[in-house]
Formats: sequence, structure tokens, C-alpha cells
Amino acid sequence: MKRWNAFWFATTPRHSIGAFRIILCAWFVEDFLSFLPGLDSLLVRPGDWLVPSAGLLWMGRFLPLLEAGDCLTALRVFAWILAPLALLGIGTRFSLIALALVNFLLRSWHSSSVYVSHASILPSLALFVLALAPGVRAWSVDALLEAWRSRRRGERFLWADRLAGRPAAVWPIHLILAAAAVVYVSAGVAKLRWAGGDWLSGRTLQWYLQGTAGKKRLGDSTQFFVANRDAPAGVKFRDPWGIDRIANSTMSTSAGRTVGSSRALCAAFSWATLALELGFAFLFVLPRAGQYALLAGAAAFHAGIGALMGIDFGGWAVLFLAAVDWNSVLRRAGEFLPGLHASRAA
Amino acid sequence: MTPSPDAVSARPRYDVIYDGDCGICEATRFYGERLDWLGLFRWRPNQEEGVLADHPHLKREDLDRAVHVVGCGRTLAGFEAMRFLMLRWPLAAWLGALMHLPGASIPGRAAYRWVADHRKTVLACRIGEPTILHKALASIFICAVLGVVGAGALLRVESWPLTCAPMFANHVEPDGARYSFRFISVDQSGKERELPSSAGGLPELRLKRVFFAKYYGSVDPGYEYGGIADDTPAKFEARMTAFFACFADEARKDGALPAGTLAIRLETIRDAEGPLERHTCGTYTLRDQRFRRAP
Repeated sequence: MKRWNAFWFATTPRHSIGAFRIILCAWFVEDFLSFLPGLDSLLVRPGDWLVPSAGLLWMGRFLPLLEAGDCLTALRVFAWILAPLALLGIGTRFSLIALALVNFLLRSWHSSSVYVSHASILPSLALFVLALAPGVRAWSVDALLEAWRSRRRGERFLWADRLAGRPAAVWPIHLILAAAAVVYVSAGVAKLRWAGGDWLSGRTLQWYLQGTAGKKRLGDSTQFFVANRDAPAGVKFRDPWGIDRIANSTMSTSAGRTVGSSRALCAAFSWATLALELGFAFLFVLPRAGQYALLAGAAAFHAGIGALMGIDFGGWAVLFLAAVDWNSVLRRAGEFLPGLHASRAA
Repeated sequence: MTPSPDAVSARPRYDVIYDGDCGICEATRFYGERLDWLGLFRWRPNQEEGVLADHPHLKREDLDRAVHVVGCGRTLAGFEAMRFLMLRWPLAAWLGALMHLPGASIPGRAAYRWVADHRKTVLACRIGEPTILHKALASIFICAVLGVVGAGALLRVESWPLTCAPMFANHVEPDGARYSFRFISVDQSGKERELPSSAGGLPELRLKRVFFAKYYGSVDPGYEYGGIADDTPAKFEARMTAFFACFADEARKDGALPAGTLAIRLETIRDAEGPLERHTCGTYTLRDQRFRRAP
């Protein structure tokens, strides 16, 4: 119990959940620019082709409303209103909770066609964590107004102290990083479990990076499948090969196709990927510098995925910014500005 | 200057005196101020100068041991003070009423006494630290979030927001084969034309996933997308019939179904080294709206 309390509930001025709120909400605003208009095409999806995701099933009572396009349109309007409010910190707690719920419903609905938008899972969960986190009103318009009222009552304080708020429990930051660690380690284990030697030799990665090469031969296909040739003959009545799984989809870039042409490069990237993903098992036992190195490595990893496979996992990289000591950064920025004025005056 | 009568009546009628060094008391004040819609209470830490001067009948050691509500000729402490407060907070009035039920005060006083005596030892609740209630609720939330993230991995569920994180991990055949599906329209003259694999608002990628998972089916009955227990050719034909009935309607709406189409042929393709291998799974005829497997 002592260790549990020490790990989750230590209070530290090192992290600022308020500053992280600004960063995460800014990412959501940017992401909404493409995500929300993209829902238009799904509005005409026939009911038979809706395969509810787990999230949509949990929110089951909203399902009939969601199937009607009107509700979805309203939810999108709410999302547009709530995201900037949460970003600026206006009615902070309420706008964050509402945004987390609306975003959850929209993403659940979007992923209800046998397509799991992995890139949105962790940021969406992080939004719930933020919504319930202590200290989330730091660096918000709400905090600014409260400080202004206090100043009018005659209280004396430093604005930066007042906006930064009191040191809060570290559990929201640790929870976001722990959730990321669980997903990374699972991804590493899945690679060993399902692809095994093929992953380590670089064959699987090469197969994906060369995927678009097959596009010309397969008409308009971007979605491939894999087969289990060893499946019993009795279950192979659909096709002679035993198609058994949906392959992940990529749109390899020219850089990706270049890497895909070299087995040695693919093997090097595969080993590096595995080391990074399984390395997340040690995230919380590493010294601080090691933690930062691992998180920076993961951010670079996602930049690499974007450059080679054209898949945007930017939201995950944004989560790692939770580990930064934003209070120090913002205070130093505050110190820098008067200094700048002084030097100009001189 | 003499305050106006309105200003006097708007003043809180009771002082709530609490331990300003205690996190639980501070949290109670935080929520108490927000629940006090009637504006009856003024919260004052017992360390504040002037509290004892304003209420000379109170003793410092008593104030350290329990919250006090003082005003209108009444002085209440501990459990009695709490239920007095709650009864006057509109959202918590039902709880205050329960606390006034006969017999409720016996466990209530004992519970209050225990928390008050242990708040700075066992509960370790000093100002600036999370309260025990915060820790309990946050612990439940932490377990829930990690449960959601971990459940996908442990139970191998791949359905948003659960993920078993397959992330590009699958077996690749020695010749690097990849498979796909084609929907081909057949007209009266036997002329064939590949239909766009996007319909009903679903792009090709999503449509083929829905097609595979909900209709075509996997040879692995345990696979979360398309695993169908005890599947048979007859069930397969029935599912294909349902899919192509919907697909034909949507393709017609999109203007993608050529005029004169009599049937839609389902072709499975294997793309590896060498020429493409094609297999006709069956054909859906529009007239009788039925899919038949190829012999």
C-alpha cells in the first residue's frame, strides 16, 4: 500500500497537468480538422454494415441515436465547441468531461466498421484521465479569472504561482505513461507471438512496406488478407487457401518502399522496434534520463512510421510530453520576457 | 459606514470552523462552499486570527478535534455539525435527512471520531496531499483505465478502445502471398466488369473488412473478426446472399452497378511470386437474389 501511494499519489511541482491539458487539447483541435469532416461519408453507411465497436456497445443506449445522422451532427458541433473551451480552460472540468465523452462516442462510432483506429485510443483515454485529474485548472482562463478576483480583493501573489496552482498528485501523468507502456509491451509481445522469426528477420516488415507494390496487380485493393494454408480441409470451403486474417493496412511512402527493398534494413528496423516496445516494460524503473531517452525514442519511432508507412501516430507522441516539467519551462519563459524588456531598455 | 439591510441579510448566518492544516477538512470546505447554494455558511480555518475572539466560548483544543458550526445561538460539533451542514446543502439534503434518522447518530459519531482521530496519522491527510477519498476514487479509476488497456491485450480483443495491439504482426507465407477479394458484375452477354469495392459510404478498405468479418468468415473460428463457430457452406451462402443484396442496392444508388447486370461474381485472389491465382467463390444473381457457391 505504501508503495502504491508513493508511486501514484506523491505530489510534485515537476509536472503540470494544466500545461499538458493545453498540449493535448491542441492536438485534438488539430486532429478534429480532418477527423470530424471525415465522418460525413460514414453517415450514409447502411445499418447492416455497422459492426459496433466495444466502445459503442458500452454506450449502447446511445446507439439508436448514433445510427441517425442528426445526433452525430450535433455531437460534432459539441466537439467543435468543447475542444477550444477545454484548451483555453473555460469551465475547465465540465468542458473536459463533456469533450472526453463526445470524443469517445464519435471515435467509437468511427471505429465501428471492423477498423480500429489505434492512433486515437490512447489520446482518447488520456482525455478522460485529464478530465478527472487534480490540478487540471492550472494555466487556464478559469485560474486567471480566479487570480484576478483575488487581486481585486487585495490579496498579493505572483501571477505565475497562482496560474501554476498547487503541486498536484502525480497519478494522471503516471497513468497516461503506464497505459502507453502496456500497449507498447503488448505490441512487442504480439510481434513475437504472431510473426516470431518472420518479424526478427525483417520479412514481415518488408511484406508490409512492399504492400502497395501489389496494388497494381490487385485492382483497387489496399486491404489485404493472409491465409493459414495449414487449416483443416473441412473449413476451407470458401476458398482453396484458407483465408483467415485481416492484414494491417499501410500506404507506404517512397522512403518506405526504398527501405522495403532491403531485407537488412527491414531487419534492423524490426529489431529496433521490438527493443523499443519491450523496453517500455522498464519505463518506471529507469532513471529520469533513461525515461526521457525511451520516450524520445518512441516519438522518433512514430515519426519513422509516418515517414515510411504514412500512418499518423502523432497523438501518441504528444502523450509523452506529459512527462516534461512544464512549470519550469513556463516559469523560465516568464523570467526571459522581463529580461528581454530590460535588455531592450538598456 | 452602516451596511444596508440587504447586505446584512445576505451575510452567512453560521461560521464553520475547521482545521486548516487538514486535507480532509480542506476538501470538505472546497465542496461545501460549492454546495452552499443558500449562502448560509462562512468557512474559517481555526488557525485564523479572530476566530477565538469572535467565539470566546470555544476552546482551541476542541477546534483541533472536530469541525464546529456556530451561529444563531447554536454550537454544533463533529457528526452533529456535519449533518446540520448537509441538511442545508440542497444537493446533499437527502443524506442529511438520513443522518437524522433515529439510531444513525451512534455509528455516525463513531465514524466521525475515528476519522478525526486518525486523519493525520493513518489517513496521512495533510494539506497539499490527496485526501483518502481522492486516493480511493483515483485508485479505482487507475485500475479501470489500466483494465481497459490491459483487457484488450490479455483477452485478445481488437475492438475500439480495446486493442490486443497486433500492430503489423502476422505470419507471412514463404512466397509472400497476400490475398484480396473482387466483386465483378456480369451482364447478359457474359461481359464482366470489376465493381468499385466502396459502397454505402464505406471506402474499399473498410468495406472489405466488414465483408470479411461479418459475411465471408475466417477459417479460424476463434478470430475476433470473422471467426464463426460451426460454420457451414449453407450458412456461408446465406450470409453472402445478405451481403450482396445490400451491396447491389448501395452500388445501384452510387450509380456503380452497370445497367443490364445480371449477377455479381465473387472472386478471391492470391498474389505471390508468379502469376495471380484466381478463385471464383460463387455468384449472386440479381433476379432471384441468391448467392450460390461455385461447384
